[in-house]
Amino acid sequence: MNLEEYYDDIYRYCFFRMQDRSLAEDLTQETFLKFLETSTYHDRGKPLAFLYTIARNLCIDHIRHTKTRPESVINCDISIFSDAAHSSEGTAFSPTASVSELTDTSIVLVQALQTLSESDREIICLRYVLELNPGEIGRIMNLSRFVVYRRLKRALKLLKNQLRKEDFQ
Amino acid sequence: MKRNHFKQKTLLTKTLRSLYTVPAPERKDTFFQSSDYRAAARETLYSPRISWSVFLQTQMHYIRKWNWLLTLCIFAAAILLTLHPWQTPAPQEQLQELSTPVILSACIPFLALATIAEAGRSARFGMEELELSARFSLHAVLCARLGILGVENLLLLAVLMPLGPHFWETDLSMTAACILLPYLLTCTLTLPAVRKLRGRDCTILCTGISALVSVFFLTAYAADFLTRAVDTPALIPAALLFFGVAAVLELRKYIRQSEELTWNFTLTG
Repeated sequence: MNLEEYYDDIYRYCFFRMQDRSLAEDLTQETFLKFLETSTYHDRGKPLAFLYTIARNLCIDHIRHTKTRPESVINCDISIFSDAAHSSEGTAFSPTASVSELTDTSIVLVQALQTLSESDREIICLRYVLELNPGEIGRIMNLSRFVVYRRLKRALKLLKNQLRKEDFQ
Repeated sequence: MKRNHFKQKTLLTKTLRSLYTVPAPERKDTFFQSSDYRAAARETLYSPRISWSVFLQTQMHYIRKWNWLLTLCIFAAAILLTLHPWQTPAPQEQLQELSTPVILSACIPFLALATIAEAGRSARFGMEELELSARFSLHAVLCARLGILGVENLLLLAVLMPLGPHFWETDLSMTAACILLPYLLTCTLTLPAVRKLRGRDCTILCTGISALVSVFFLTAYAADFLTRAVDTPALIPAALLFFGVAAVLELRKYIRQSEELTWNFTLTG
């Protein structure tokens, strides 16, 4: 089993959740060590989904222990995200692109994403950015496939409602 | 309308991907070279594992004895029915009603049932969780036991098949219809039941299905249906192919389900 190939995927997930490069790397490495500690895991399904589950739990644990959320979004224009950064929803799974990379459509989408709940953003991110299938998302988030489909549909509908029609024509 | 929706979704996905950018990890190589990771990996990933042959041997001991006995009984019955004492005129006349392959076709569903029952043993006794905490995963154990029994059944059927044209005066097509078809049919019908039901209900239903298949083949022979089916060109090979593929697909689903069970227990444990 070659675990090195999964490092980038787990790191990306941790980064999107924690929005902090150094912390994301720490949590990624802890994820791999925890995975290796659970030696009984051998031959039990795909390791990637299990790694994601460990990473998710570690991120949640970290947030619970420190009771702090990232104060600002890395590489992002604070004027765009300032409202979200100080909201109770936090900024986990907020877009991370630098402002110079944003187009008009992207800015609208960023604002629309900020109106979603953290779990909806997580599902959107897992599905469309990390390209996991609903079954894998369900395993990671401890949800049934049906619930994942329903939440995805709801999140997309919310996004569409937020976006002006002309931005996506 | 649909095309527009697809375009919108593609654009949304593309824009989302461009929004989520990640700086490259800095400590990846250092981590995989570190002593902490190497020690943990050496202990778990590269620890000496039991070889497949030894693993199969250990699993062979867990298969219940009556399973082997049943195979032996069917084989012995096939041989005995072929032997000389049975070929005397009186029993021959009695046996003419039911020739050897037909008697075997009535027994073979129970051979398939025994194999399926062995596979579903952990589920029947609610032992999956215990098996999961053992050294080998339920998935591996299931594959090993089904593999052993499958090979054993295959050997038995492969031995019985040539006996037909040689000793029982039936052609290959009829022998296949009497030996392979009941086996595959029972597997195809009982595996979904094993997947969907648990406990006593599952046992009763599987036994019922096997008995029905057994009775079906006896009546099919008595009503001359089997002989007519054999006379229809390509019907028996097509039926064998159909039920063979169906049985393999069902088996695949069953093994996959055992992996899902593993996941559930891993997440809730």
